[in-house]
Amino acid sequence: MSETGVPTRGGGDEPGQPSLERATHGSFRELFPAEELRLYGLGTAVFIALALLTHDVVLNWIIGPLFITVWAWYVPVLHERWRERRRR
Amino acid sequence: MSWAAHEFENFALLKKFGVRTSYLGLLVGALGPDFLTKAWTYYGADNPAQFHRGWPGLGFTTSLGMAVIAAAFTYWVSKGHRAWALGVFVGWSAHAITDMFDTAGAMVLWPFWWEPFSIGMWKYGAGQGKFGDAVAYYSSLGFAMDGAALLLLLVFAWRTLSRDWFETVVRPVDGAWDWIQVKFAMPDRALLAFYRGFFFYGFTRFVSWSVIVHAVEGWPFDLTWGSPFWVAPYQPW
Repeated sequence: MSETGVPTRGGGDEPGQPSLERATHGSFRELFPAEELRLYGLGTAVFIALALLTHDVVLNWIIGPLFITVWAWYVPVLHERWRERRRR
Repeated sequence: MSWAAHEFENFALLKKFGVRTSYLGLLVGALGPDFLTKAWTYYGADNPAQFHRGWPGLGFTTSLGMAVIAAAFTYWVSKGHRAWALGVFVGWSAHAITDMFDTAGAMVLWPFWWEPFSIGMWKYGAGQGKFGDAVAYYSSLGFAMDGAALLLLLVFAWRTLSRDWFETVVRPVDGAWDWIQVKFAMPDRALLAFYRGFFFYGFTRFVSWSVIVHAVEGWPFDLTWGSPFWVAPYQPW
């Protein structure tokens, strides 16, 4: 972890796998490949659904890239919180 | 004009130029020509084709000459950042070359040659407005162009979308990635998604427009040379 609070780079034991610390670190948690695939797949489906509902409103070069950035940033956090709540 | 192909070609170009080229520079270069012209083309120009691709107009912005100017400007502004300058040049040039495929063509050799070069694969449709342009493009060989660009990227350059490629090739070339991550306190996965953002945008744009045009609106495909048949033949200015 750097002084700025942003995790420093460094992988796990296997290529393409996050280290254990990074894989369990709250909102900065890195995703395993299967989780990543699900996250992007769901994000793609949701965005395409939005695009079909709104026609060209969301299909522009600002909203599109920002959508997936925010999606990949916060959906795992929200999912984690939801799981925590269910556990309690 | 091309639609999602512009987003896909950046990642394919990274495969070739990755270790010397800033992806963000590539992106700025690829977006540059349309950023300067597109809004006016759809909503302000009396003759969209002439304004967008010709002279008098802003057609010179979609050219290799303008790519050199934009790269030189970037080199000056970035105080000698070669990767950014090369990225802008490559991205801008690729956009100009891809735009040659429609019937309006592009003034690629400006300022040495002021006439547009055109391959005429599909009809230039900006005169139909944005929605009409989308209908024309995704019904014609433009659809095939986007599909082929996506397929080629996924077969020959899929690694450029991987986390490993981002961390070992893209990020070390350009300090801007570290700056963005620190500035916005982004986790690695969000920064990686930001990098992949234009692929995501290109893919969802390709799929969504294809569905809207054919499944929702019911327009037919016309995959012949110089298609689609319902757009009036392009009249040179």
